[in-house]
Amino acid sequence: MKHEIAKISKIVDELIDFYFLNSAKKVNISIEENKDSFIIEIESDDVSCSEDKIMNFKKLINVQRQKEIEEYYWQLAGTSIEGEEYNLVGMMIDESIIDYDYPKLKIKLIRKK
Amino acid sequence: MNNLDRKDNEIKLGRIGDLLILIIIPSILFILAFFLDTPKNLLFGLYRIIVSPDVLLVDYLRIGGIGASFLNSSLLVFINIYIINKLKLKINGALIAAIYTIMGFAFLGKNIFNVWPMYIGGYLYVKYQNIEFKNILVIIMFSTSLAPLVSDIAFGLGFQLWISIPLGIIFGIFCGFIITPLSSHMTRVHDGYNLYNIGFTAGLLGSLITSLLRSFGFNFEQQEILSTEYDLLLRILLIIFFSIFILIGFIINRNSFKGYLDLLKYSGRLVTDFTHIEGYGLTFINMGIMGLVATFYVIILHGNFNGPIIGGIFTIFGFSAFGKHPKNSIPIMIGVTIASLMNIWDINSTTVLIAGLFGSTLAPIAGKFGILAGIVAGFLHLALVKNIGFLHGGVNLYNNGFSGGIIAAILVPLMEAFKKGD
Repeated sequence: MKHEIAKISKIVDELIDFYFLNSAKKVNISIEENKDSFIIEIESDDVSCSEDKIMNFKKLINVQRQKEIEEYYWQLAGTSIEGEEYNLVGMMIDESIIDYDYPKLKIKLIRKK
Repeated sequence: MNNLDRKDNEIKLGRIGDLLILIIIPSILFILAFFLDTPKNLLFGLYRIIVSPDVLLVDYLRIGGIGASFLNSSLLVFINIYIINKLKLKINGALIAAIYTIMGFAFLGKNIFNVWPMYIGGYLYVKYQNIEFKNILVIIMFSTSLAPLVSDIAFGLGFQLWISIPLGIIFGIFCGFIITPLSSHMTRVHDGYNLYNIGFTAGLLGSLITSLLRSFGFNFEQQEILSTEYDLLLRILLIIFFSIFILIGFIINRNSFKGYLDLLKYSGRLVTDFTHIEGYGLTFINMGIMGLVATFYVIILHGNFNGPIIGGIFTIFGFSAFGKHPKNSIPIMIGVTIASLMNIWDINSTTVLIAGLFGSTLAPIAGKFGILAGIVAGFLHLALVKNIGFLHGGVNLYNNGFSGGIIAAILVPLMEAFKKGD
């Protein structure tokens, strides 16, 4: 798919925003390309985030992949100073696992090609 | 019950069920068309709609009559919903916005002839890029903003028809071919604070094409053809339509309005899809409420209900599944109204009223930066939108989206810069 690497970068941008806007001081990122998917894993050991905020984040991320939205709006991901495009990120991925055990937050996203 | 549970708990209608809800209004319009006019008049009205020059500001209710206008609008929606169904797309906020934007603009410039070249252009683009057509359908549906370009080249430049009709179609196909990469890129200019992004894109593209044509001595004559005779009927119909949607949403949301206040917390910035975030029930409730807000905005300001006003109201109705809600839209309307009280334009003229309606393209500014910011955005929008039409000669139907893109591109960086905190 066209702009695949740029789209992965945008998704990661948006997630980095979420971590640093929630007190993270150090974030580890792993991006792996397989034959048919990209796997993005991000984790930090010092995230301070309310239960409501995590629930809202999950709500925005856990939506169905929407290729028609992605084609139009993908360039908006990662552009906001306050990282507000989590819903768009959700529409650009196929699976997500969000595990928050204060203060550790681990996010795994899978985007199929 | 939290938001996630509530969305999961609403009555599920499935993809086809959601589509059926969306065709309720066009179906009523389709049936009414045959009650309001004879089949012969409907066909003649459709013919007049097709061959009329469609540059802003045109009113199909005046050109083709109410029956033909209803028929044109409903047919366009039926065909688009058929395409959506054929591509097995799940209904989302963007598709709802696109459907009702087309339905509304089918009263002021889009018709069953002039929109299809963009679809052909889009089809050629996906073949060239080797992607699926469904990936760009939303963009192509919105790109019909440039439909007047097809009609005006075909019927408005004075060429012989065997030359002008193919030429108009070729221009339309060209626009459909290039609009996808352009529109995607243009979102970055306003960072998603202008909901009618294609209006901004089409405004720039239309300005380039119009300037090119002017340089060869061809001019599109801007016009103002407005109806006055269907005011009462349209008021009643709109109030009924929007009340039906509130009722449907209420039922889907398990006979409740619960959660609606949560929906008002979103800024509305692109991409805010209420169908995904809050569910279909609350989305339909919001659409109905916003439809009524827009209708009463026109009534309170003593406006006359005509094609462009209907277009504005249905566009708000559609985009209320994709970012607009009363809290972020009303400040823009107030800003436009204050501007019209202070400056040279009549507060209840159609052009000022549609600036208030379509000006809600800037709703995310009010949603993000507050009511005052929204009022300022609305105030500036009226001044700009009344002047910017000259650039594209009226061939871009989403003139307010063009203006909105410029306003957002100027205001948002300033507001971000002077906001306190990181």
